[in-house]
Amino acid sequence: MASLITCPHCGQRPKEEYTIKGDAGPKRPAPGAPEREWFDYVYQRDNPRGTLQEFWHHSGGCRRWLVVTRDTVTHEVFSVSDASERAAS
Amino acid sequence: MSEVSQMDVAILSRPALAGVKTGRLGASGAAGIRLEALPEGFLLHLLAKPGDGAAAGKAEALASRLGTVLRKTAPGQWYVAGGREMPAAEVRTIEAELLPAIAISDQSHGRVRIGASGPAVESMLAKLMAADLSLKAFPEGHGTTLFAGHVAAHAQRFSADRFEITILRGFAADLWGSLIEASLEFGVEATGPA
Ligand SMILES: [Zn+2]
Repeated sequence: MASLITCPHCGQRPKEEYTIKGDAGPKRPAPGAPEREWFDYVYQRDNPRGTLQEFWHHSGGCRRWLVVTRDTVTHEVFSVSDASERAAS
Repeated sequence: MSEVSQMDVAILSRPALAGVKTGRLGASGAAGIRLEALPEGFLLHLLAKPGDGAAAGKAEALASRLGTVLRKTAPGQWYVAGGREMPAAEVRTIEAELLPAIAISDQSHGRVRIGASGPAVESMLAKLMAADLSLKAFPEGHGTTLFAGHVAAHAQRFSADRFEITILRGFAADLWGSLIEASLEFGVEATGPA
């Protein structure tokens, strides 16, 4: 687990200040989408070895939702951005 | 409805830091740290409407009108705080002036402030806070929300050797204890609520 995350608003902080929501990849299906799509969205995760994009909440700091891109093997953090910067989809 | 009226229950105002450890504690010699329970006056949490570019200027103007500084807590969010009590009517007047650019959450009874100062203040706070507190990274006028021990708090720098820490009321006594403990090696002069 990456132990230091640099919040774009607060600077470098320990992982204890954050709450991890998990994989930022899955896209929310339309409300009327088939149950199969909803099941995949809610339960199915890839758990990749390597680069992963995750939602992290800076719960002990600015309380903004962030997107952290990190390597699950080396723990290297490639980027951290505010989740509002992601294109709405 | 219950039959209990205000006549039967006396509601007493009790400082959040009543009864905490105070006085001259720890290492002897000149005290490296001074801790103060600051008056529980007003504390307003300002929340800007997302995307409103004028909100920061309005928040700044309010702070200077109230004779205090703007304490940044998050993007588009600030505290303004002071030692005097602010009547509810005044809070409503301020909010009416600022809406819709800024909404206000009156936290006057929810959060308290502790003053921490002295030549050893950076070293002392660094034991509890995992942020860079050096004057270069955390200059005068800078404020941020961060963990103090295991609880979220807000730290604001007022000078090279003075910070104010804002903490939820219910955690204040616990944080005070941690601050005292972290200060003992430097010698501490601690003043409780008036
Ligand atoms: Zn943050």
